[in-house]
Amino acid sequence: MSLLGWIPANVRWFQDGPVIDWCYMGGQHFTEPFFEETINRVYNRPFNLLFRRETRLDALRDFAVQSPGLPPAGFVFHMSRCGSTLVARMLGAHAENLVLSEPSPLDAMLRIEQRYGGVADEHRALYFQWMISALTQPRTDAQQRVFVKFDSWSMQDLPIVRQVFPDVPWVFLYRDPVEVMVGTMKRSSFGTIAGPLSQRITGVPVQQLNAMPAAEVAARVLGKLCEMAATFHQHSPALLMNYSELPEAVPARLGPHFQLHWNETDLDTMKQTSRFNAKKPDAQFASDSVQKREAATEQIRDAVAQWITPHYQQLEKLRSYQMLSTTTTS
Amino acid sequence: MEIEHFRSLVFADSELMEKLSKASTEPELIAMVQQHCGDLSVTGLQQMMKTSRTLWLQRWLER
Repeated sequence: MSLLGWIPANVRWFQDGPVIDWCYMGGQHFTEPFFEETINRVYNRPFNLLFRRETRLDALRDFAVQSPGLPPAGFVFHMSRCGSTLVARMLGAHAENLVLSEPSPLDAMLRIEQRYGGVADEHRALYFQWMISALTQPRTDAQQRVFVKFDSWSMQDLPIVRQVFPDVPWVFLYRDPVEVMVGTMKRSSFGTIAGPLSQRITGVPVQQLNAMPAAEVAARVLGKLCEMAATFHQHSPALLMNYSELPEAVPARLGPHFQLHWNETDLDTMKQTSRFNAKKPDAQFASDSVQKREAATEQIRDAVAQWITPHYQQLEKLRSYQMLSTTTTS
Repeated sequence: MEIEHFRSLVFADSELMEKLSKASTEPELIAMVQQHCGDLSVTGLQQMMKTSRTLWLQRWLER
């Protein structure tokens, strides 16, 4: 039976393999800042409550053959708390763009080896490709391309992403690390607390992470994400974008990088979008950089200096080369 | 007819699926379902939706 109109909503793990919960989208759109928020809304619609649907992975494979989805036109990676949601919202303001913001079923496929040891990279790449295909089904007739904003910790999985989509451009977003750390310490994410995810990123065993101050764990993770971005950038050039450049850099630098051509109306729509808080679109945007820097404790500053600053500076150096080469070639 | 059988029928019929998916409230959906399959009980359908909601919440929290 066809899965057209359905989208993977969640992945559950069983001994004999994962089970995918699907959700019927019908005419519903991704209007919320995050994939999860849209799925949560749509899943709780009466139809989905009554007509639950679940499949095994092979259904994903068959669906990918039947309906491959929209072609990815750009991938957004980031260190978290650095404006990536704003970028996603601005890209999504264009009717031709489908934007998926941190879809958890994709993360599940990328980290499937954490659940089932011994999953070869080639299989992981296949599962990732099938999942992308299911997630990127067009939701309107106007949609022509898709952008995926990954979870911050997916930076580590860039080689798999590049293996499947070697020609799709990617961007790495980052921000003054003190500001990111203050935001992170205020509201932690899965990736920045001691656990399997931070172990996977830092390579430090969970037991050791558990014994560290929370700020050190978070700083090690964030530093590692920046380090990985700078390293991957050497082999597979990304657009490096600092929060300080937003929102102007979206049309000015990201647009050309993703080969997007915007007219005046598009630019105006994006500008309007950028005036609102990306995570709470009902509220006006207000910069919190100064407050964040003022709120930084000594412990945060020390952790940033030790674990993030060297990699942040490296990214800034690479970005300055990038800006210079753009200026000299334009 | 059992709900599982009805589910299979719905999944195989994209027009019916689209029509049912437009129901914005549970009573509205139950009424539409009963038009197609009168022997499914209202209480049973209500219970099923309640269970789904709980399951979703559990899965959400488990992640």
